[in-house]
Amino acid sequence: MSQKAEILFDAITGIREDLVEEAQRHIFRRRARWRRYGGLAACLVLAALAGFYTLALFGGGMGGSGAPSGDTNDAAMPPASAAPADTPELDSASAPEYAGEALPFLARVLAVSEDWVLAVPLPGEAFSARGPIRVRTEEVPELPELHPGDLIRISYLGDLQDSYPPGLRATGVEQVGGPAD
Amino acid sequence: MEDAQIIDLYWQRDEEAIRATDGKYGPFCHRLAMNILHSFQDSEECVSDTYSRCWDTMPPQRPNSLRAYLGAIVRNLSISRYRSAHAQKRSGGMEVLLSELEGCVPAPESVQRTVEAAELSELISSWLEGLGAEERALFIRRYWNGDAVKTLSGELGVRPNALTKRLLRLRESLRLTLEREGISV
Repeated sequence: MSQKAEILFDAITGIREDLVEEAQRHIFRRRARWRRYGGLAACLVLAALAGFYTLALFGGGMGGSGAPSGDTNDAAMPPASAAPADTPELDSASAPEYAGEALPFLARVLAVSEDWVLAVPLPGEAFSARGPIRVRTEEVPELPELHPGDLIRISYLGDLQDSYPPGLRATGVEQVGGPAD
Repeated sequence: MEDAQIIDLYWQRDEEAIRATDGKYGPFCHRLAMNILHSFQDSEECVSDTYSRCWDTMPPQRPNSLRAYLGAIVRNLSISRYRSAHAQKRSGGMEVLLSELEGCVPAPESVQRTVEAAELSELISSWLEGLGAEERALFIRRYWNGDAVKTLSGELGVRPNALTKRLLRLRESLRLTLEREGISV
């Protein structure tokens, strides 16, 4: 076994007492399995509600027998102003970039799970046209305790994943306000 | 009993100090020694020697954290015992910890200077301060306490494999920090 590893072991023995003491008192935030599945269930419910809402809003005329001028497609199609949220040209933001790094954006938390947060970007922020985004938080070094309704600032890496809901890899999540803000 | 009161007992040369230490930190010291030595009998002796060392060093020492002070003594005594036993045969717990720490040793081409043990400890402390609270606790619990990956993954509620990857990233980060400083060990 390397003598150098033993020197490192000795050096670790000598780390500052306050760090050792803090580590002994630290209580790990336990990742409960039920939370992972609970979060998934919450996501499914949200997706179902979104689908139901879309149908109720735009699909009301579909069942009617008297479509005007016989053009049945018009009745089934949503108005142009209500194009699907994930249509790329309406996307208010493919991520704005600054010095090669994507700018953080503000979003409202909808649901929190073990390794992701479902959040809706505020109007005018990046990805605001995409609706709820599933933000992966595994790489966030210090994730604050979040609750639905919290206002957060998300830093991220890479592009929005083409999934439903769209996914994003967060590198930092900062709580900037509560539900009232 | 508060740590300060126990330390006062040492300073007053009252043998109750050792009973109080054993009552409050005995299991902690045993666990540390067991994590390194994997032998109940050797751990017992190490902990007993730790109390003697405390008796000999307080006064003049007055540690801020009695737990950290005891832990450092237990680790030093355990590694001494490990080294003497190592000449005859390899022992499990320490071997695993050392093989993992090999990953933190800077590559030879990046080495510019050799540092004293105390300076290396300070560098590691500074690196630890830059980590998040959970990562810091994780590193210390694994490499200072010597807690098993299985134990820690149980506390975190994650799979041992996932925790192994996190520890690997931490060791890699420490290695890079030491290389950036041009440190040789």
